Amino acid sequence: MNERITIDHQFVSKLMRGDEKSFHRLYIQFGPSMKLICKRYTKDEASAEDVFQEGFIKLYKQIGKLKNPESFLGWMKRIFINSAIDFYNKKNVELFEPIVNEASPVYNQADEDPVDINEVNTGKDIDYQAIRHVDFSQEEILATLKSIPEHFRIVFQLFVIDDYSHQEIADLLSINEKTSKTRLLRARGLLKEELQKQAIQKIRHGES
Amino acid sequence: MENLDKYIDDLFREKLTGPSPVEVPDPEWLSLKKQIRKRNFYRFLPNQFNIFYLSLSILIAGSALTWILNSGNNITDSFKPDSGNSIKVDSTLLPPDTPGSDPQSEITIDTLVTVKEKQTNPDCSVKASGSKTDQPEKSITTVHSPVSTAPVNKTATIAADTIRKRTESVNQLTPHQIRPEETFQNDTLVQTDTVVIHKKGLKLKRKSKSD
Repeated sequence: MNERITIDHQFVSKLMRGDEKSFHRLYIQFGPSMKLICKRYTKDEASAEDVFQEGFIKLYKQIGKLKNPESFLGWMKRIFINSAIDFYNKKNVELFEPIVNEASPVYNQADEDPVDINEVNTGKDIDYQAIRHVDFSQEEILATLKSIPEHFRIVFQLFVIDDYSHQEIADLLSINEKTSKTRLLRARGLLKEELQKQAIQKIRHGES
Repeated sequence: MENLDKYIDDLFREKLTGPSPVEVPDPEWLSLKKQIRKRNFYRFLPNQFNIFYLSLSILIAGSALTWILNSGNNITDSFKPDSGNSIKVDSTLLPPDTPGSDPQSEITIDTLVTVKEKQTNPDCSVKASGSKTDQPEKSITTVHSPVSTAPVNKTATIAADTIRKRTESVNQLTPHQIRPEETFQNDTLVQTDTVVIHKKGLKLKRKSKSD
């Protein structure tokens, strides 16, 4: 069970036949990375588990539609991302309401509106050297990502980490491209601020 | 500035797409496994038991049961003594879903029939017991009828004087009982309540109309 599986035509055929053992092997080998996707797209552990389960069931249901087994990994990743976005879209009624997020006092309703990119605070005054100086762990990076508002975080992840275009993001989130771009800039600005804060803390902690 | 943006992007991409220390616990797999099994059950997978095989099994079992019941040819019908000369089985009373109620089939009465009598003819009782009857009798007699066959939509008639009856069980043995092996008399009036036709160990009941 611990040996690594090769995603080939034969393995995909087994998955298509609903072979439980193959699904288990897939779960063991790719579960952690898929779970990480779910974790970074959701606010808490419970939501991440829901999305993970939903994604796995979607994978089971849609495996029959996969035409090219070579693209299985990318396809699987998209399944989990789409599950996370569906989850976000379903519960995200606050997108259309004023958001007060204590974790990000810089955010207000105006952030939702497409604005001139030059007016967005993109973190120009950030101490670049401080950030570069520190080695962040995966957990710290994940925590930093989760510290910014969800709608910024999702756009940032889709664009930066998962290589979606602004057009695709706009379609997925039912927003326009300009909003997507604005959110990305805002997300970067907030992440830089947060990273700088942490970097300075770490440096001070290290010095003391 | 662009360098910092690139650095931030690379940092997040590198840290969040690499090998993951995130654990996928076994209970989560068990829950997924359950769902996969459930969904597999509703899919047609030739190599495992699923709803299609279950339906087929039920169909086969149902057909077998129907065949067994039909081969038993159990018919329950009202059982009325006619004018003393005969007992009629009014086969038109058979409900359409009764086994054997096919218009092409026939009713055959060649079985033991239990007749619960509410009242027996006083004369008969006197003859049977050799004493006077004070009150209406309530006794259970078993009648062994001769073979009689009739189409379902017609009336089967059994000559009363050929039917032999004997008392099988009575609440209390009284002097007014009908003697075993006694034949019906022409003027015997038996009010039947329930007729049961036994065959091949199966038993069906239906209330008859009182005469």
